[in-house]
Amino acid sequence: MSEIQRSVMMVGLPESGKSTFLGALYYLLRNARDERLALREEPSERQYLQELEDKWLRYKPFERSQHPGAKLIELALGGSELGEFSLAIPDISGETYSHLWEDGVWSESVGDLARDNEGLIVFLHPETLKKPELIDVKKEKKGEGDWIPWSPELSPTQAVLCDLLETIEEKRQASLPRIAVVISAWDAVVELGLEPERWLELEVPLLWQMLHAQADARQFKCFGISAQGGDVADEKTRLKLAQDKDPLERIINGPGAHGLLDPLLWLLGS
Amino acid sequence: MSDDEQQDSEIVGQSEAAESEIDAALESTVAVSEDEGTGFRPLGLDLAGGNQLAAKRRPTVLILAGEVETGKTSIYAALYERFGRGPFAGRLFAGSETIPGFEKRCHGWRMQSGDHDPLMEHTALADLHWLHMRIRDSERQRDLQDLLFVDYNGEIFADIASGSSSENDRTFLRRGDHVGVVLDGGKLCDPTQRQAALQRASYLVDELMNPGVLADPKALFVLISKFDLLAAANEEQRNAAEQVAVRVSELINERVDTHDAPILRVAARSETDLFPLGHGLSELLDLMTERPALYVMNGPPSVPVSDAFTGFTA
Repeated sequence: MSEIQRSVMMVGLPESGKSTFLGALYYLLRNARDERLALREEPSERQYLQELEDKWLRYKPFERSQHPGAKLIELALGGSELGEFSLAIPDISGETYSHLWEDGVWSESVGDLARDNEGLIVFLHPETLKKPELIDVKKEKKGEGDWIPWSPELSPTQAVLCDLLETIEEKRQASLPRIAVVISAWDAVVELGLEPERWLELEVPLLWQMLHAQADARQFKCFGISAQGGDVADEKTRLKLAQDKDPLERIINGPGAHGLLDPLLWLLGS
Repeated sequence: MSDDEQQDSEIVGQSEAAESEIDAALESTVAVSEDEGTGFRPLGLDLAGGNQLAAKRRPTVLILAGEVETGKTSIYAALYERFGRGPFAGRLFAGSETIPGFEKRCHGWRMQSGDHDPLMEHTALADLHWLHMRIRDSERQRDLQDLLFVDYNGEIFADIASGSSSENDRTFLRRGDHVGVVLDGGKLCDPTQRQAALQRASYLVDELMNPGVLADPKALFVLISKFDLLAAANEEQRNAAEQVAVRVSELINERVDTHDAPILRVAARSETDLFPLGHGLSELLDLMTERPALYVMNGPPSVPVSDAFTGFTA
C-alpha cells in the first residue's frame, strides 16, 4: 500500500526564519524527542537538511538562502497524533517570494506546490519587518530634491504577504487552506507580553485583518517561536545559549504553544 | 400596472441595462501593461482583470468624477493606507487583487520616497484605472464586500464636462453604483477660483444627468476633497465654500425626484495635523456599504407566479 503523501508550503520573505525553523525541526524529528511526531527513516536527500541542522546546532546566524526556487524536502514521519505519512515541506527561498511580488514569475515547482499544498506556514521576523511609515507633515522638510521613485521592493512586509496569499489563492483557483503564522525570533518580542495573534494585529495589521476577516471560511492560527532562543549574531548570547546541555532547551515558545511541532500538527490535524 | 409598479419596472430596467453594459464599460478601459509593473500582479485591473472580477463577484463600483488634481487618487490611497494601520470605520480589510497599485499610489506619502512633503503622483491617461478592495464588517456578521474604484485621469472628466467626449468614452459611468462629483476644497475657499469651480462642476453635473449617461442619477453625491484646506480658511471663506457644495447638491436634487445627494467632506491626507489620515472616509464607506449597489437599492423585480408553475404545484 502506498504511503499517504502530505505537503505544506512555507511562505516568507528573506530572513524571516524559514531555514532556521527547518534546521531545528529536523534535529527535533530526527531525535524523536516528541512522541507526537518523529522521523521514521532518514530522508534519501538529506545533505541540505544536515547543513541547516549543523548551523542551528552551532548557534550560527542563518544567512539568506541562496538556492533558487524550492529545495525539495520529503520526510517520512509518524507519531501519536497523525499516524504515518510522508511530508513534503520544501524550503523556498525568500528571494523566490520577493521575485514573485516584484516580477510575478512563478517557477514551475513553486507553482505546483502553491496549487497542491494542504497548509501554509507564513513566517514573519519581528526585526526584519518593513512598515508603512508616513512622512510627518509637521516636520520641516529638507527639500524636494531627493525623490525616490516607487519600486516593489520598497513595499511594506504586510502588503507583500497579503499579495502573496492572494497570488497563491489565485494559483489554486480555490480558497486557501489552513494558515499557520509563525512569528519567528519570538524572543525579540516576548517582553511585550502579547499573545502572538495580538502581536500580529498590532504590528502587521493588514495581514491580520485579511486573515481575521475570512477566518470563518479558512482557519488561521498564530505561533510565537524562537528556534534560536536569542540573537545568535551576538557573541555573548551565543555563549549563554550554548550552556544548555540540550540544544532544544533554548527554543522559546509563545503563549499557547508547546514547541516547534505545533504549527505542523495544527496544519495537518483534523 | 400601477404607477409604482411602472416606476419599479423602469428602475429595474435601468439597472439591468447597467449590468449588461459592464462589458462595454470595461472594454472602454485601455489595457496598458506598465513596464515598471509587476506583470502578474498589475498596478490596476485592465479589461481582462475587471471582467474576471465582475464575473466572480458583483463588486460595488465607486467613481470619483473631478478635474485634474482634485484629490481623487488620494482618496483611494488614503483608504488603503488607513486599513494598513488597522481596522477602520468598523470594517476590516479582507484582501485586494490590486495591492501593487495601491502601494504605488501611497508611495509619495511614505518615508521610503525620500525627505519631502507628502505628494501624490498624477494619474496618467495610460494607467490601469480599476482598483479593487475587499472589506468586511468587524463583527463578521455580513458577507465580504468587493469594491471597485475607478481611478481615471481628471482630463477625462474635463472632456465629459465640456461635452467633447464620445459616448464610448463615457460608458464606464453607467457602471457606477456611486458617482461622486469631487470639488477641490482648496479651490472652493479661494475667492478667485470658487465661481469657476462651481461653473465647471455644474457643467459636469449637466452632462452626468443626461439620459443614459448614468445607470441611475441617484448614484450621484458630492464630495469636498482637501477639506483640511477648507477648514483652515476663515469663516467667511468656509461658508462661501460650503454654499458651492450645497448648490451642486441642489443641481442634482432639482432633477432627481426624492433624491437628496449627500455632501461628504474628506481630508485624505491632511497637510496639517488638524485631521487624521483618511478623515471623512468613514462616511464614504458607509455610503458604499449601506447602499452597496444600484440593483440592491432598486430591489428585485416582482415575479408573477406563472400559470404553468401554479398548475405544477397544484
